[in-house]
Amino acid sequence: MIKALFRKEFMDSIRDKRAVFAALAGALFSPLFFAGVMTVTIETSRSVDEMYIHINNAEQAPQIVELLEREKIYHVDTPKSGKSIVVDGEKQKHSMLTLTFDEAFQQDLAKSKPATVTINADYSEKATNNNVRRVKRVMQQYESSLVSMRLLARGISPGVAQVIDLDEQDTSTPSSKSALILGVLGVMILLAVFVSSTNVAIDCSAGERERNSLELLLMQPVNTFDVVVAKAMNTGLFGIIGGTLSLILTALVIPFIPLHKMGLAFNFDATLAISIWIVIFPLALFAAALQLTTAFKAKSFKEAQSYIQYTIMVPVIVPMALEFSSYKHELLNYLPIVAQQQVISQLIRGELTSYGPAIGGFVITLLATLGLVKYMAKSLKSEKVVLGL
Amino acid sequence: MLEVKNLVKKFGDVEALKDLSFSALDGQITGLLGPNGAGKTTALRVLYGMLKADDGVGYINGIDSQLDPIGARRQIGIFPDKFGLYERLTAREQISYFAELHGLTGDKKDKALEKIITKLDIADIADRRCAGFSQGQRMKVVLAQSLVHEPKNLILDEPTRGLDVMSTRILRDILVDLKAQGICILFSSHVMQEVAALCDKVIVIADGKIADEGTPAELCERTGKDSLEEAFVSLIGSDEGIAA
Repeated sequence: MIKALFRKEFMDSIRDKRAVFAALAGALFSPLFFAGVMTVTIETSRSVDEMYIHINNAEQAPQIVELLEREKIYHVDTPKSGKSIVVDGEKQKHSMLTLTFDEAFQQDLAKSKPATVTINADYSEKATNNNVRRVKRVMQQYESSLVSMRLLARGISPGVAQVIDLDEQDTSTPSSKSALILGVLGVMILLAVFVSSTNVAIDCSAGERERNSLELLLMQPVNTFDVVVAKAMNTGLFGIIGGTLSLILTALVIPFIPLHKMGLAFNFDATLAISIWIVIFPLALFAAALQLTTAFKAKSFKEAQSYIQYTIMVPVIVPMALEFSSYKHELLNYLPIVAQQQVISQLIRGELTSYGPAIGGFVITLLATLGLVKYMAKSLKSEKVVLGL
Repeated sequence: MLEVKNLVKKFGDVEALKDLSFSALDGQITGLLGPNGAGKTTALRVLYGMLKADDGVGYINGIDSQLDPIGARRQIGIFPDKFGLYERLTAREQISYFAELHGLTGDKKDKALEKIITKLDIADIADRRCAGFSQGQRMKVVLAQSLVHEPKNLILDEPTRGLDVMSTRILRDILVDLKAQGICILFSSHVMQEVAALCDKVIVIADGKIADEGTPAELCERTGKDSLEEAFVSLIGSDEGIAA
C-alpha cells in the first residue's frame, strides 16, 4: 500500500514545477551563497595586511618609512581619480591617506623638539579610522623607542617610563580560524535540506486538503499511518535530493574560494561528502515530518506557507542558540539538528573523535521522525485536521 | 446494504445529527433528500467512518464502520461532493491509484482499468492530465475511480451538482444500469426532479432527523400532495434550500 501511495505522491510532486524549482533553488543557493560570502570575507580581511598611503617628505624620516614598510604600509602616490592603483601588476586599493613630515622634521628631532607629522584623511569613512590607527601605532612605536634612547643617553633607565608590561598573546591558528568559517558551511548544508522539502510538504498536506483530495483519499480503505509515511518519504526525498545537490555543488565551488590566502587548506573530497550525506539522511526525513506536521496543523495553504518559514529557520537558530547559551549538556549533542550540525562541523574540521553522537544522533533523529509520523497519523483521524475546521 | 442506526453527531454546541436511522437495500437506489445543512453529508461521513459518531452505529454490508472503517470502506465506492482530483495526474493514473488503494494490482488492475474506461467512454481523455477537464469529464473520472474496484455499494454525495444536462443524463443511465446489477446505491441530493426520477426509496432528512421515508408515491400519498416537491415542503415545513 505504501508503495502505491508513495508512487502517486512522487509523481504528483515531480510534475509540480514550483516544488521542483524550489528544491533546486534551495540546494543551489546555499553553496553559492557560502562561496560568495567566503570570498568577500577573505578578500576584505586580507586587504588589511597591505596598505598604500601617500608620504610627503619621506626623506625627512627614513627610519619611520622603514618601520611603516615593516608593517606593510607602503608609499604609493595618491591616484588622480578613483582609488584603484596598480602595484606589481596587481590591482589594489589606495587608502587615500596622506602622511606629511614637516620640512624641519629632522632638525626638530635633532634638537629634541616636537617634530610635526600631519595625517590627512577623510575621517568620515569607516575604513579610514582603521588605517589611521595603524599609521598612528607605527608612529607611537617609533616615538617610544626614541624616548627610550633619549632617556638612556641621559643615564636614566627606560624602564622608568614603563609602568605596565602588557603581554598580549593571540592563540588563533589557521585551523581555529577555519573552524569558524567552515562551521557556517555545515549550517548551509542543513539549510539546503530544509529548504528543498518545503514546497512539497505544503503541497501534499495543506494543498491537498484545499483541493479536497485529502478527504477523498482518507475515505478510501487506507491506514492514515501509511498515508503519512508515504508523504514523509516523498517530502524527505526532495530534501535528500536538495542536500545531495548542495553537497556536490559545495565540492565543486570550494576550490574556487581563496582559502589559501588565509593560510587555510581544506579538502572537500568524496569521503567527506559521503560522510556528510549519511549524516543528513535521517535529518531530511525529520525535516519532512516536521514540515508536514506544521502544514497539516495550518488551516489553509497560505497559513501553512507562513508557518513553514519558521521550520526553515530551525537549523540556523538551534546551533546559534546553543553557541550563545552557556548551557551545555552532553545529551544535547544527540538531539536532531544539533547532532547533525555538530557531527558535520567535526567532519569538516577533521576532528570527529567519537562516533557516539553521530550514531546516537542518527538513531534519535529517526525515532523523533517516527514519533512525528505517528502523531500525524493520529491527527489525520481527527475531523478538525482533515476538514481544516 | 447500508444501514445507520440512532446516529448522533455534535459539532460543538450544534447538533448535526439527532438520532438518525435509515437503511439502503441492494438493487435499489435510495435517495437522501434534505435542504442544505440538513445533515446529509455529515450522515455519509459518519457512515464511512470519516467522522466519529457521538452515538449510534453505521453498517456497510454488516461491517461496523466506526469499529472497522477500513474493512467497511473496502465494500464501497465513494463519489464525493467535491471531486478533489489530482490535477497533475492523468485520468488513467488517477483511476489506477484508486484501484491500488482498493488492493487491485498487476493484470487484475489493468483489466479493471480497461473495463471501466470503456464502460464510461473516457478512452479519449484517459491519458490527459486532469487539469483543464470540463465538469462533465471530471464527473466521469470520479465515477470511474469510485467504480473501478466493482464495489457492492455506491455512495454519491450531491452527484449532479454543477453538471450540465447531458452529463446528468449519462450519470442517471449509469446508476440505473448499476441498480440492475444488484448494487446498493445511496445518494444525497437536494434536487427534487432527480430524486423523483431515480429513487426507489426516498429518505427525507430535516434538521438532523428523519422527517419521513418511502417511495415517492408513498410520500405524496401520506402528505396528500400531488408532487414530491409539495410533499417534501409539507414534510419539512419550509421550501428553503430546495431546488425544483
